[in-house]
Amino acid sequence: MKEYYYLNDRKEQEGPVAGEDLPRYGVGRSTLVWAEGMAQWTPAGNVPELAPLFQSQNGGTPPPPPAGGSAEEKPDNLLVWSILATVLCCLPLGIVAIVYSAKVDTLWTQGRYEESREAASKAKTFCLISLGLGIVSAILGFIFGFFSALM
Amino acid sequence: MRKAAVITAILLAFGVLYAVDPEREPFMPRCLFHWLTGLDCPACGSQRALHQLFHLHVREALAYNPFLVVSLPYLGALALCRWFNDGGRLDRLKSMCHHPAVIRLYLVLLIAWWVARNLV
Repeated sequence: MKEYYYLNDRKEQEGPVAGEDLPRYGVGRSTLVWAEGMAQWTPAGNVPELAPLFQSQNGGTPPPPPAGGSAEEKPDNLLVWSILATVLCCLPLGIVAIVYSAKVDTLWTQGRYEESREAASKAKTFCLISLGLGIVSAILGFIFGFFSALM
Repeated sequence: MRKAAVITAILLAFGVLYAVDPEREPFMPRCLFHWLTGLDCPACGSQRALHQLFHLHVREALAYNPFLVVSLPYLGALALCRWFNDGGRLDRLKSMCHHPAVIRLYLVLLIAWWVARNLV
C-alpha cells in the first residue's frame, strides 16, 4: 500500500504513513488524504485502495440491540390457560386473557421484548382472576344448591 | 410433578362431570355471567355438554353447547403442544396453534357465537 499524507483535526498536514496504518492515526472515511499520483486531497473513504479499511468501521459492526433489553427467553404466552379459562366460563375475562396471550408472540417477534413480557404478565393476571371467579362460582353453586335442597 | 398434579386435577374434574349430571344436580359451579345478567356466555352449557359427551350422547352434548366442536379440539391441540411436546416433535402443530391469525379466528368465532346464541 502507498504512503499517505493526511490532514488532522486542525487541517494540518501529517504523515506520511502506510495506508493500512491510517485508521490507527485517527483517520476516518471523511478525513482528507493525499498520496503521490493523486490530483488533490480526497476523503479516505473515496480512495479505492483505502475504502475497504473504513468499511468495517460501520458496515462490520452489528447495529445496537433494539430498545427494551436483550433477547432472553420468550415469555410463556399461557394460551392454553386463557382458552381454558374462557371455556370454563369466566367471562369476559377469559377473552381478555386470550387477547394478551396472542400479543405475547407477536410483540416478541417484532423485538418489543419489554411489551411482550408485560402482555404475558397481563395474560397471567387475567387467567388468575378467571380462576378466582371460577372458584367463587363453584362455591356459590354449592351454597345455592344447599339452600334449594333445604327448601 | 406439576404435570402429574394438573393431569390428576383434570381427571378428577372429568370424573365428577361423568358422575354428576349438572342439569339435575344444583351443586355444580354456576356461570357468574349468566347468574348476573341472565344472558348466556359462550361457554354456558359446557359442563352439561361434557357430561353428555362422557356418556357418549353426542347429540345432546351438541344441543347444550355446539361451540365445543371448535373449542375442544383446539384446547386439546394446545394441551398436547404444551405438555406432550417432548423433543419438539409437535413444534409445527404448536406454531400453527399459536399463529396470530388462528387465535384471532378463534376469538372472532367465539364472540360471534356469544352474540348469536343470545339473539336466537
